[in-house]
Amino acid sequence: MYLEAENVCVDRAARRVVDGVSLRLEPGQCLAVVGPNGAGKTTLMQALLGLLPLSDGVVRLNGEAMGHLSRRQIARRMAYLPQNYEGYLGFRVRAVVETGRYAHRGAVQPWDETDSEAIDQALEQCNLGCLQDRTVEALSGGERQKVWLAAALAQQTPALLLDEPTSALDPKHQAELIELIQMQLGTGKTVMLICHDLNLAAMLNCRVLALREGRKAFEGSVARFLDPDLLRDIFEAEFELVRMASPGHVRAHLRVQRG
Amino acid sequence: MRRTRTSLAILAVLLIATVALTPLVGSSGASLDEVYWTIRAPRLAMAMLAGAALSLSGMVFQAVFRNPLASPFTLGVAGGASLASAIAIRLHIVGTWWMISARAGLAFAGAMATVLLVYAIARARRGFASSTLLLAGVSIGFVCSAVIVLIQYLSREHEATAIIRWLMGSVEIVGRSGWLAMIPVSVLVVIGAGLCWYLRRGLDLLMMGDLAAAGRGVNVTWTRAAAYFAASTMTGAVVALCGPIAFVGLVVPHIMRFVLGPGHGLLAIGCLLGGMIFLPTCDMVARNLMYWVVDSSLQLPVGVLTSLLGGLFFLGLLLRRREESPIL
Repeated sequence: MYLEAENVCVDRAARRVVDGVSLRLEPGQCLAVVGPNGAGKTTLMQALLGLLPLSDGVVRLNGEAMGHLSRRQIARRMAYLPQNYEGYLGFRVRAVVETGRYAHRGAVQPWDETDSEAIDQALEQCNLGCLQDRTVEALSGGERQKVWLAAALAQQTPALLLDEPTSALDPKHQAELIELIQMQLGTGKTVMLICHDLNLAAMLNCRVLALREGRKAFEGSVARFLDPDLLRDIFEAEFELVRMASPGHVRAHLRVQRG
Repeated sequence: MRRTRTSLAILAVLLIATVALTPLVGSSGASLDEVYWTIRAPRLAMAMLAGAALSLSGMVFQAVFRNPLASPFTLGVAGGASLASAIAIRLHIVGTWWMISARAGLAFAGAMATVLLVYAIARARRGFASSTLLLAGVSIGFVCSAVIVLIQYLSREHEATAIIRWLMGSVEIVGRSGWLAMIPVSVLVVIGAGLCWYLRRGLDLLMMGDLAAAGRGVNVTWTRAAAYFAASTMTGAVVALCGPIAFVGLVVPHIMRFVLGPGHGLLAIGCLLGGMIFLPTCDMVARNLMYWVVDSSLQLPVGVLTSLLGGLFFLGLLLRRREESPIL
């Protein structure tokens, strides 16, 4: 599976939110999209998923223009984890994960063995086996995020598009989520994620695409990205770099100046 | 799983009891045989049909708008039907074409005109988002109510009374013409219910949010539109014959969600069964309440009873509502 975007422009409320971004997502690649609030990260991701009308440019999935594909065809290739969950919380965990199979089955076809295997596997990978009969509203924020991710995994797509998967999670759940993403990358899946935590991109050793005011400000390896001058230009904040004990590993720390 | 099976079995037993017993309750001068086939059996059938259709539409509207207070009438379907019916009463449009009376035909046309108008407004505002649809529907509903009040004001007394009676809702249909009138309504209800059944997984996902649904492969716009048309057609068909019977579409789906859970496959079956039990039972009580209490032959319109029960039901839910639960 590969995804390419050419000169993608998206307008929202008469404002250009994404302005001429091109990118190519190769199979097995990990791409982190970073940038300040309002830089157009989420809008770009939704445009790549065909969820928003483009004002200009084109998005192709395996060479086919997104506009020619049905939602179901797209959902068989890319699973999406939105940033905020706005829905009803009364469903049981297993029922939520089951919805991941929607794209593979018709509206009326009953679930078969492949489906229940995919559901069981997703539940197991996310450590939700013992919670599967609980309702989502009874779970903590971290557990809920794992449920949404499990539903996306049950989709069994070659690519995962994750919008801030680890924001608002405590350290334990962050670590679990990061391990899960690493595991998916290990099985050869393509992952695109939006994150504010630059060290997450460093940990996953992603390629980085930085957006600023809707335009592409940087694209390249995370090692090149972690440069104090570049970070200052993009984020308007001061960073200092810390070298880790293992060679080649660098982390960025936000420097806060007191007046 | 076991709880589900038990619940469905209880519903089935209650349904059989409803069918067997409700037509037998009541007083009449004539022999039961006569009363049964010309009055009580058609009335029972109508109440079952209306109850099932309104409950299922209520369930669909609540899913489409992700709102516990959405009902089959939220989008002005009843308003359009009532307006057309009020016009028919005021202008004395009578007559029967095939098995459809002029008034019921006009009321159905009014309902469908509202449905299309609301859809067109929401479409024109691009996106068919639930908030646009809701606002468009509620506004049209208000406009219809205003015009109905105007027509009542301009009517003679007996016409105004007829309009008010119609607005209360009733499942009273009589004899052969009554049975025949139910045929087109049943056809529309079966088609609408079939479409809702087809959409059940899409409805589950709509409840989880538009973005989540789209990401899983649901065509959100199409699903919402299809669900809206299916539920509105069922509602319009029933309202054309019975008038707006309030609260059935709110109370039954809530009870069923509590008993059977929120998944729309099982919930749809529950709503059909629940509606077929709830409305005939309410109607039986409404028919006989005055007779039991003050020995009067006055029959209350069933809409009064369902509204009363519905209001109390929601008050009860509100008082024992769990924290943070988005659907009561």
